[in-house]
Amino acid sequence: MYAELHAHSFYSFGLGASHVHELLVRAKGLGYPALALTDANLCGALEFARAAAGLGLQPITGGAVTLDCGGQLILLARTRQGYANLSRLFTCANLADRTDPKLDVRFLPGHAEGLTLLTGGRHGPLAPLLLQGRWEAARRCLQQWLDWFGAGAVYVELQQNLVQGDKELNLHLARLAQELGVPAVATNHVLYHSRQRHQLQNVLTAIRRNTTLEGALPWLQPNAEFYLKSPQQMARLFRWHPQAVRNTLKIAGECAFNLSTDLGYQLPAPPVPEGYTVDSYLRQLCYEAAARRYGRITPKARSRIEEELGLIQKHRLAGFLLLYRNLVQLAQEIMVEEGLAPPETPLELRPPGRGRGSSVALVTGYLIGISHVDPLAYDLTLERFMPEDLQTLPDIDLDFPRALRDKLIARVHREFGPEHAVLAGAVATYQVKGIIAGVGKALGLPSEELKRLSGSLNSHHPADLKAEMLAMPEFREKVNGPGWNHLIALAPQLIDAPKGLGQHVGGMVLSSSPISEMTPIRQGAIEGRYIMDWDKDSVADAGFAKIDLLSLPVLDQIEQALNLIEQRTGQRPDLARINPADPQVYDMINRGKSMGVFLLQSPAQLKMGQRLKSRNLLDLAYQVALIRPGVGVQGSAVSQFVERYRHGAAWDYDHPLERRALERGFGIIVWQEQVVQLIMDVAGLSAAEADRMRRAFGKRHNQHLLKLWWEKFQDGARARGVPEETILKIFHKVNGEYMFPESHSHAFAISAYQAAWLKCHYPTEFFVALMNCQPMGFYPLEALKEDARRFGVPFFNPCVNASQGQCTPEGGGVRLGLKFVQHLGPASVAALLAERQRGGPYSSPGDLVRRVALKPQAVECLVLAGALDGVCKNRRQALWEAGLHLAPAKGQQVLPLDLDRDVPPLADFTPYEQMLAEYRTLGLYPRGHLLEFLRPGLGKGVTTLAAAEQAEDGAVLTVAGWPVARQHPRGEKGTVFVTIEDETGDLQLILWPRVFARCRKAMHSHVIKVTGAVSRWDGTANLVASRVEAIPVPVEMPAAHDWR
Amino acid sequence: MPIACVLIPHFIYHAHARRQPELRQGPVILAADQGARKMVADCSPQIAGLRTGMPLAAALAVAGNARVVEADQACQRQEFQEVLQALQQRCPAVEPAGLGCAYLDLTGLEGLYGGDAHLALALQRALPPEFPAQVGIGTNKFVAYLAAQLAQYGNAFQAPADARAFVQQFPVECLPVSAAVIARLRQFGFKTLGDVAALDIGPLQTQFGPQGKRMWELAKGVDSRPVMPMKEEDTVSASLFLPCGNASLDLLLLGLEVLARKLLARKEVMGKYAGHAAMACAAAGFPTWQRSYAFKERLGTIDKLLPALKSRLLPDPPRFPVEELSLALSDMAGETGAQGLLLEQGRTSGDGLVATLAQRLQARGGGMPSLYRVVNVAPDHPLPEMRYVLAPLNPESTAEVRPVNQPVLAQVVKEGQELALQCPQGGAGEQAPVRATVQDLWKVDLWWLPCPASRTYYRATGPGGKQFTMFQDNLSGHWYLQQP
Repeated sequence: MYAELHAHSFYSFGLGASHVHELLVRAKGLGYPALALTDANLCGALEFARAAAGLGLQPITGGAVTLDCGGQLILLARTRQGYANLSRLFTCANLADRTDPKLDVRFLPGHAEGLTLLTGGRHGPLAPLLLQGRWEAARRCLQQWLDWFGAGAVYVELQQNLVQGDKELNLHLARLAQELGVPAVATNHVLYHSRQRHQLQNVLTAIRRNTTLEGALPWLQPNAEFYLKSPQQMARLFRWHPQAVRNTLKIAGECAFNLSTDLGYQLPAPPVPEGYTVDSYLRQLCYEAAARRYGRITPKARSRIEEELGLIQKHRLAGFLLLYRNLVQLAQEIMVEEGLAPPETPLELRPPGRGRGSSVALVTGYLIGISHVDPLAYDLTLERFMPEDLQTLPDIDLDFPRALRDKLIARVHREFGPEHAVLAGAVATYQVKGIIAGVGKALGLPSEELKRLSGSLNSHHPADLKAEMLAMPEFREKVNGPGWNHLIALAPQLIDAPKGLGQHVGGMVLSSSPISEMTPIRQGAIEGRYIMDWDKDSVADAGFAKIDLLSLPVLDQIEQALNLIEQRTGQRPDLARINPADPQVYDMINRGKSMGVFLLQSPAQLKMGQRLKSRNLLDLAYQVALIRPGVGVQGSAVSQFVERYRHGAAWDYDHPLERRALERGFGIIVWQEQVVQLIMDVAGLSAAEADRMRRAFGKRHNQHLLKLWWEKFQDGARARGVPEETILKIFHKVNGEYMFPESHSHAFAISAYQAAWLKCHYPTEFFVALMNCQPMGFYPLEALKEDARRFGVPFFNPCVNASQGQCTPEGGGVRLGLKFVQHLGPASVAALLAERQRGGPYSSPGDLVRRVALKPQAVECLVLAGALDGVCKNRRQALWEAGLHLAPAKGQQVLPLDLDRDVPPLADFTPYEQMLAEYRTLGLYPRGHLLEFLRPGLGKGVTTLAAAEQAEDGAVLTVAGWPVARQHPRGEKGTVFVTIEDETGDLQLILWPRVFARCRKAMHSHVIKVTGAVSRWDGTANLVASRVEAIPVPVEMPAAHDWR
Repeated sequence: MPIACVLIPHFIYHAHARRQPELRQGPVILAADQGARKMVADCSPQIAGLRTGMPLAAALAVAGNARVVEADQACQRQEFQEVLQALQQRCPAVEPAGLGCAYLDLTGLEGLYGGDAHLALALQRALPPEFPAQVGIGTNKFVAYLAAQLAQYGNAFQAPADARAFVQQFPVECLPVSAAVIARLRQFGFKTLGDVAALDIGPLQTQFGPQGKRMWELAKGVDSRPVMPMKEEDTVSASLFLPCGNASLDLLLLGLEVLARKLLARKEVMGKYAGHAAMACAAAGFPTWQRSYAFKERLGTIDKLLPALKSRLLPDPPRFPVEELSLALSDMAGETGAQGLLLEQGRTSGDGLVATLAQRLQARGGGMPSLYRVVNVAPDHPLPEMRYVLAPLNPESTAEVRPVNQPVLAQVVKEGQELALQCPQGGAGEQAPVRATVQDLWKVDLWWLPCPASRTYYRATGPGGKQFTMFQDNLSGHWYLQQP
C-alpha cells in the first residue's frame, strides 16, 4: 500500500497538468487510502477536500512552499492549527512578492505547530548541498528543521522519477537521514494523474516561462515519469528502502485534519452607540428614517416595520444589516468627498448604492439606505424573501456606480483591515483563444497565424479545432503538420483548466477572525486590494458570508440622467416614487424599443418584450429572468412559459411533489431557488445538500460528481414514491447554467423599469447619459444613435466651440463630446477646452492649431468629424488651412507670415465622403446611416427593414443591413440570430446551422444582403435567411457584438 | 538625354515563380514580416484588390483561397541581381530603383542599337523570359517611369516630347512620395498630377515642405535626377550546417562566430570594412528567417563585428531548430578612422597563436589541418550529444561545426538486471560480447523535437569494473552506446 504525499494539480498554475478530480479518481482507482494535494497555493484545497470525501478517499491538505534562500519544502497539515499555520506561511510568502511568492525561512519556526515537513526531494534545499559535497551545511539545515518542527514531524523526501542522478541523490539523502535519525519517505513528485499528460505538463512549463519548449528546456522534466503510480510500481522503485514507502501510510495516518470542517469564521460586529443593542439601534434608525421618508407613519408602514424587526430579531440579523449599512455609509462618505452629494443628505434619501437580493423586500433595508426600493410602494411581500424558517443568511448584493465602487473597496480594506476584509479570488481558466495563443507559442508556431486562427474560429470548444482548421483554406494543410498536430491534440486537455488567480469582481469576505488563518491572502494586481486564494465556490462551501460590492454602469447612467434633468428643469425625479405601472413605459418595452435599457436591450430581450407584453413589475421580473442561460438551455422552456403565463395554455406537473417549487414559474424553472426547492421536495434532500447538488451542475468536469448526485437523487425520489421515468425527467430539469435568484429578478426589474421610464419620459437626458457611460451594454455607438433618432433625439457632430469633453444635451438632441473624436486623448480635450475658456471661441482652423498644441492626426480627425464646421464649412479647406499652421517637426520656429494666400480653392468632400470620414473618426454618422448611401446601388428588389417588419408571414424578401449583434444561444444547437440595421430600422435574422455554415464568411462582412422568408410569430417578426451575400464597403463599421 | 525605365510588375512573385514554377498554378500571396505582423509583399497578377504593405489578414479577406507563401528576400535579391547584370550587358549605366525597377542612361547607345525602339527590344530580350518587363523611354527618369507604366510587354513606350502634357493624366499615386503624402493629396481632392500642377508652388510648398516643391516639379514633367550607375556587387557570404537541428542560442552564436571569422579571413575582404550584414537561418519545414543590418560605422575586425552581430541577433532570434546558418557581408569599403596597432610584439592574440600553429602543422603534414575547440552549448541538455560541439579554430579551413558524443549503434540483449553487449569495444575490429550489471537507469522523453527522442539509459558495470553507458531508443527499439 502507498499514499502519494506530493502531488500538484492545475492549481499550481503552470506546474501541474491535471484537475483535482482527475488526481482523486486515479488515486482511488489505484487503491490509495489517502492523497495529499501540495500545490503552490491553497486555491484548490477546499475543492480537493470535498471531492475526496465524496469518493471516500482521505484528503491530506498541504502545500509546496518555495523558500527565499532556494529550494522548496512540502508542508502537510496534521491539525487545524497546522492548517492555520500553512495558510499564514503562504500569506507571508504572498505579501513579500505577489507574482513570485517566496517565504523567508525565519517565519518557519513560529508556524511549525501541527505541520509535517517533507524535505522536497530533488527540488528541496538539501539536494544541491549534498550534490556539491557540502555535508556539514546539509546536516545543519536538517537539524534546524528538526529543532523547529520536532522529531517525528520531519521526513527526508526521496524521489525516484528515473531522472539522471536520482539514484545518487537518494543514496546521499538516505545516508543523511540515517545519520540524524530522521525517517525517510518516498514520493513521486506527481505533476499529472496519467502518463499521457506529460506533454501538456511540458507545454504548461513553457507557457509559464513565456517561451517555446526548446527555450524552456532547462526547466522541463526530462521524462514522463511524474504521474500517479501504483503501489506496486512505487514498491519496485524503492525496493532498496521499503520503509520509505511504508512511512507514507504512517504520515497519512497522522494527518487527520479535514478542511471541510468549521474554520472558525464569524462576521464582524458593527459598532453601535453606547446604551444600544444592535436591535434597538436598528429600530431607532428605521423609525427616524420612516419619519423623514413618509412624513406620517401609517399603520400599514408601522405594521410592516414591526413585522420585519421581529423576524430580524428572531434570526439575529440586526448586526448583519447594520454591517451593510456601514458599507453604504462608507460609500456615502466617498460621494461627499467627491462632491457628488451634499454632506447632510440622509442615507435613505439618496442611497449611493442599490441592493439586490433579499434586501429589496425589506422596508428596513429601504429605510437604512441599503435598498432603493420601497416594498410598500411596489407591494413586495416579505415571506418570499425572509421566511419564518430562514436557514441561511439572506443574499444581499450591493450595486454601485463604477467609479464609486472602486474607491469603496479600498475604503473597506482600510476600515476593517486587510486581515478582516478580503476580496474573494477568481480563478481564470483556459479558454480556446488563450489555449491557441499559449500552446501554439510553446510549440513554436508563428504568432501571426495563431492570431488569425483564433480570430476566425466559430466554435469555442477546442475539440472542434481540427474540424475548424479543415474548414479554412489557409489552415487545411497544416492539420497534420509539425506543431499543429500537437496543438490539436493538446488543446482539449486544457479547456477550463485553472490558469491563474485574479480578483472576484466585487465579492468581499468580512470576518472577525483573521482570514489568513483560514485561507492565504495576497495583494491584488490593483494597488490597495487584497484577495484570498479561494474563489466564490470555495467561499460558499466554507460557509463564509460574501458581500458582493458590484459596479453597475446603469447606476452611473441613471445618476447622470437625473443630474441633467435637474439642471434643465430644476426638479430631480425621485425614482423610488415613480408610477411602477406606467402604461407608456410598458408600451415602449412591449414594442421592442428598449435598446439601451439595462437588462431589456439584448436582441433576445427585445423579442421577449414583444411576446410577454409586461404590464407590471412582476411581469418584468419574469421577463428579465427568462433570458438567462439556465432557462434557455431547458429546451423550449421560455416559449412554454410565455404560452402558459401570457396565453393561458394548459399545463400540469410531472409529479405533485413539484408543485411548491414550480408553481410560481408556471411549471418552468425560472429562478435559482426553484431548483433547490425542487430537489428538496422530490428527493427529500436538505436545503444545504440541494444547494450543493445545484452547484455541482455548474462545476467544471463534473461527470463523476453528477453521477454521485444522480444516485442520491434517485434513491431519495424512489423513497418518496416517484416513478423511475419521472425521476429521470425531473433530474434533467436541473442544470448548472446561470439563472437569477428570484430576489435579483425583482431588484433588477425595478432598476430596468426606472431606466426604461427615463428613456420614455426624458429621452434626451437618457441618451446623453447613455453615450457618456460607454462602453456599456452591447451595442456600438452607431446603433445607439440610430435608436435615439427613432426616438426623436437627433445627434449633432462634435464642435470645437460648442462641445464639452462628454456629450451634452442641446436643443433636444445630443451634442457629441470631443472625447468621441478619434486620436483626441483626454489631455488634448482638456487643453482645447481650457484654451477656449481662456481665450474665447476659435475663429478658424488656423486659430485652433495656433492656440492649442494638437498632433496633426488629432487635427485631421477633428476636421473630418465635422468639429470645425462651425468655423469653416468646407472641410477640405479646413484641412488645408490647419495643415499650413501646424508647426514643423523637431521644434523648428514658424515665421509669423500671413498664410491666407496659400489657401487654394478646393472642392469640399461629397456627402458620401463626409459620411465615410465620420464613421472613421467618430465611429458613427450623426446625421444619417450608411445604408442611405448604399441603397441606390443595391438593386431594385431590396426592401427596407421597416417594410420587411410589416410584411406578411412567409413573404420572401431581400433586405440589406449592417450586422449589429449576433447571438449563439446554447440551447439552439447551432442556430445563429443576427440583428441587422438599416436607415429605417432593424430586424432579426435567423440562420439555421447549415445556412450559417455556408454563409459564415459573408457574415463577417460589414454590410450584408440577405434573402429569406418572413416569419411572424407571437408578436415578433424575423427573417429566416436562406442566402447571405457580402457587400464590400470602403469603411470599417463597428463589429457586431457576439453573444455566446 | 534619353533615359529608359525597365519595370517588372509583380517582380517578387515572378522571382519566386521562376524557382518554384508550381506557384503559377493558382493564386498566391507572398507574405513578409514587418515587425510582429505579416504583410503582403506581392501576389499573383490575377488577384485584384491587393497592394504591397497590406496586412495579410486583410488580404486573405479579399483573396481567401490564395495560397500564402513566405517571401524569400535572399531569392528576390539574387534574381534582381541577375536582372541587373543582364541589363548591364546592354547598357553600362544601370541604376537599380527598388526590386523590379531600373533606370538606364541611353546616351550614346542610339547608334549601337539603331534607335530607342530597337534598344528597348534588346533590353527586354536580355532579361530572363520569366520576367515580363515593361520599358518606357523619356527625357528624364520620372517621365521614363510613367512611360513604362503604359508600355506593354514586347513593346517599348516612348513618351512624347511635351513631358508636361504627358504626365498630367497620371494619378497622384505615381509620385515617388510616401503613402501618407499620397493620402493627403487625395484628401485635398488632388487626383491627378495635372491637379497638382495647376497649383502654385507656394501653397504646395507651404503645405508639404520641400516635398511640395519636388511634387510640383514632377507634376510638370521636370526631373533633374541623373542616372547613378550601380557599383559592382561586393558581397561575400558563407554558410554552415549545424548538427542535429538546434535551437540553442549558444550554438547559433558559435556558428555566427565561425562564419564571421571565415569571411574576415578571406583575401578579398582583407583590409576592408563592411557596412552591411545579412543573416539567414533555415530548417526544413520552417520559413527561412532572414535579417539585414546596416552598421553606423563600418566593421572589419572580429572583436567589433561579432558583438555587433550578436547584439542584433539576441533580441530577435529564430524560434525554431536551425539547420543551416549563413552570413553575408556587403557594402565593403576601406577603413574609416579606426586606429590600428603599430607594433605586434608581445601582444600575440589567440588568433595569432592558432594561425601560427596551423602553419606549422601544415608545414609538417601537408594540407591545411582542421583544428577544433570543444564548445559547451547546452550543458544540461538531457541528450548528451547536444551538450558540446566542435567548432573549427582555423578560419581558413573549410571545416564545419561538428557534433560530439554521437550515439554508436550496439547489439544489446537485456536479461533482467544484466545487459549482454555485442559491439566493438576499444580498437577497431574487436568483437567482444560482454555481460554488464545495471547499476542505474534513467529515462529521457523529448517528444517535441523535430526528431523526437525517447530513450531509456542504463549505466552498467562489466568485468573488471568497466563502466558502460548505453540506451535503448524506445521508438525504434535499437540500442546505442554513448557517454553520459
